[in-house]
Amino acid sequence: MLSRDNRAYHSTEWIAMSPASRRRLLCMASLAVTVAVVPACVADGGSSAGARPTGLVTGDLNTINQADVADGGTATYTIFNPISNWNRLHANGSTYSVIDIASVIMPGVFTILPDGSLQLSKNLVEDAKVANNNPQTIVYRLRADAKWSDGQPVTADDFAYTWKVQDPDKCPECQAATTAGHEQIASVEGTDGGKTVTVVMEKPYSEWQQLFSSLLPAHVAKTYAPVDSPAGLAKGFNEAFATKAPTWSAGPFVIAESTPDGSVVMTRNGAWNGPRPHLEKLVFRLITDTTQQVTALQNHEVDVIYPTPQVDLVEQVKGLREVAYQVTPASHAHQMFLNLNSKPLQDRALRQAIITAIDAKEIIAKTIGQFDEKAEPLRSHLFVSNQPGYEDIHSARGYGAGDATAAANILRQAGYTGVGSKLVAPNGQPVPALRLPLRGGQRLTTDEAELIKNALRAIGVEVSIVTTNDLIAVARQGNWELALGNLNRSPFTATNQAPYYRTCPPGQNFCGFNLGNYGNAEVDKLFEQALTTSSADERMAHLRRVNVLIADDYAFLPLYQQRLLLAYRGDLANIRANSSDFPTYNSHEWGYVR
Amino acid sequence: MVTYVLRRLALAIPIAVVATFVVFLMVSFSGDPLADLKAATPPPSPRVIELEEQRLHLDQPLLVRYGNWLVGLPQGEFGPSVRTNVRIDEEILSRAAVTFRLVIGAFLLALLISVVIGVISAYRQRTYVDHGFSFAALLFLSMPTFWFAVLLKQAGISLNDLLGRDVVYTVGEGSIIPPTGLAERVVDIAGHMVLPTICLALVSIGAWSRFQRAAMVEVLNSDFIRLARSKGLSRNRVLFRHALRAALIPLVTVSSMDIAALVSGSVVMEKVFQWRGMGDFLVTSISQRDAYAVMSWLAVTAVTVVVLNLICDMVYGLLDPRIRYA
Repeated sequence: MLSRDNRAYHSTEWIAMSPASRRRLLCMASLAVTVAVVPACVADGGSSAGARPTGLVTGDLNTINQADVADGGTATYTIFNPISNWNRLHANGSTYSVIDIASVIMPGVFTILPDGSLQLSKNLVEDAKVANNNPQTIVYRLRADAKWSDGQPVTADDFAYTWKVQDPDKCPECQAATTAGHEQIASVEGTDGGKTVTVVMEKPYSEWQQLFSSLLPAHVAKTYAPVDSPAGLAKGFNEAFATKAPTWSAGPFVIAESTPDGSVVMTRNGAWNGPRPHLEKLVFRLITDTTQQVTALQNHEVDVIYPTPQVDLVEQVKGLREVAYQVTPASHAHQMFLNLNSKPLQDRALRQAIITAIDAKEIIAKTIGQFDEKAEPLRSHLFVSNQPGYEDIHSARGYGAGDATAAANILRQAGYTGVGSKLVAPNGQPVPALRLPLRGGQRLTTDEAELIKNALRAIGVEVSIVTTNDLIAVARQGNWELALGNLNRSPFTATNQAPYYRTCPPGQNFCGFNLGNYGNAEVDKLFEQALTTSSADERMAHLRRVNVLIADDYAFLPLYQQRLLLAYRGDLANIRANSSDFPTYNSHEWGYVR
Repeated sequence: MVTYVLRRLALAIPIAVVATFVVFLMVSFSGDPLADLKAATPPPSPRVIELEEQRLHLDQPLLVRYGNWLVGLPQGEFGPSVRTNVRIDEEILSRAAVTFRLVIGAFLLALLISVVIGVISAYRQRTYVDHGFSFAALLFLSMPTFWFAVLLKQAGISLNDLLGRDVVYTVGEGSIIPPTGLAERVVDIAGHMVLPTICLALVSIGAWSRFQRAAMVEVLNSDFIRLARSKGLSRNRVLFRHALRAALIPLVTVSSMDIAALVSGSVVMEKVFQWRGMGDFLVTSISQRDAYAVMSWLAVTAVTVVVLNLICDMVYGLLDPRIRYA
């Protein structure tokens, strides 16, 4: 039973209230509404009134966002993956976060610039050249003042150690991310107090510039384990370098502390022989969710974010005040793979029809074209648009033309029936639905898959889209006919691309990264020739020929060149996107505009 | 009481074993922990993959792996993590402190606000105040917490812009470069705690305030309260000395049952606010198919929830002298 004191009747209460009480209540209600509405009304878009441009910034890839900067300040750069292995050269350590950090502290002989060209790291080496072609001998002359943060000089010992841990002959147990090129080294010798490094190759390696892209300090390795035995090499490489946050550096900054939350604070490396970094501190902050990265940038908790661009993400960044951003082409190619283990797809005519029916322009318009109007279909198998060697070899072959009529004609001429309804192969067997596995939660890829499905339905080919969390496992099990994925097309074309196209040994359905069991003996031969020639022109000629041969086989459909999104405080200058060596490649130049 | 505590703990052990085994099976069958490694560009050599499989005991049968983990658990051996530089025991210890801060903060905030709202609503039942609180509670209960998180973050950013300085923060449990000075450090931690703690507490406030209101209304209408009023005791004395204590008992019951929900909610909050706590550890471990890490998380969390429930039971006994545990 309710107490009379506590009972209130709704219909009479307002009348019973005093005028003062009513006014108080109305004021409170108005305040509540204002507090609820004002945050939504606060405009966050538009350009800053300051001198620096905000919003979309364009320009030459190597000089975009260039400005004169002041000394001092701290910049906080966002990393995406938790650091589970500190060794950038280890198979488990070759993650984006570790590469971001390693670009600052681990020097390499050559730096890959944002436009994909190579630049000698003049702070480390005076020069690097092939002194002899038979055997191929590369001589590096190190700078006398190149040293690690503890004062120890960078010498041939560091080169020798970095070689051995990436050569399976020298260290079979070392879990290197890649051994490409290093397994072909016969010897590494040092002279002139270790400042001249002579590398002799067992057989010529045309892309020798990709050797020693990150150096490990040999003198530090010796404190972990002996470096003169395979067991010692493995222990140091797999364990010590992997588990210990590096306290050494030969770059502009050195790690001062790594925090429990997976973030890293760097301070200037006083022993660095390059131009003094402008920033006083460089912080790498771990934020694993890209949506939270944008909010953190908006709230000035971070100064730079480098997420994979998505339509809604770019829209969010556009709306931020005092924030500039760049959308630039990456060195990654997004393409469709066809599984040649699948019987129907062993028919070249069907593959050609599939590739002709798919409309690459439509796919681009519905995906990256929404945030980059300049995006065009990728017309090459081995190169991206800003690389030497890029040429349009696809248009003439109908790649990504979206021409269902031409595709249908190809099928009819090859003896297929049921074109446009339910395709039947020349042998009378109906063509089964082609499985296209996708990783769940990726909006752009899902949209793409739907467009591919619609395009192929027009020629009578059904596509079954399957969502999976483990794309590689599905691919290795062979439960697919079509797949979408990215390839990194670095300047070292033959080294990076060959694993995707090299013929698998007999009896194997896949090998290396050739999951679709593509094989062409001529392509194999030309890749080998491209890798072992000492002439740059010959190398390019071989690769161009490979490009054409792969195109004629209709086993892959390059769709577009991926995009990079780099967003940062409007007054932070000299920071630019870099697909290969990451934006931190020139961290010593970053700074706040004067 | 000691016997009761020991019996509760003893009951929790077989439940935890079954739960960890089920989770182990689920994680093991969800995919290959080495999938990311195998998908690397360029791909690693077969030898590298073989060594990694040996390190993670993936070359052993499922039951053997689980059995070895179970045997090692009491000795503090939590098994190898997919992440090379991570020791699961050290990671859990450091992250537990972070989550503990968030969960306890949210629990206490929710409790305090629920009691206040519940008492006011009950005393002013069927007034605009009561209706306002009811509406708010319904809102907190029905809206997803991540939606609130987004709104609160934007409100926090607007507040910072208004004040021209960083008062509240949207990511992390503390500044990467912490300020010097104890007071500044406390303010920094508080600034990072405000938004996630409020977010996590909101759903509980919605539910608990209604329980507290209902309990208070029932107690306020009971005979002993009527007697107290008729004896001439003041309103405040009746409310806080007599009614509230009796009305807290159901709230303690409900809140102790909700601790597990708070821990679950902290998983979402840690993801949204990027706190490196147990929730973030769980999400990362699941995404990396790190079976040992996930099982270890479950074992530690199960024990924690059991212990916190036991504490609530003891508080229950303090509030109500009629309760005695065998």
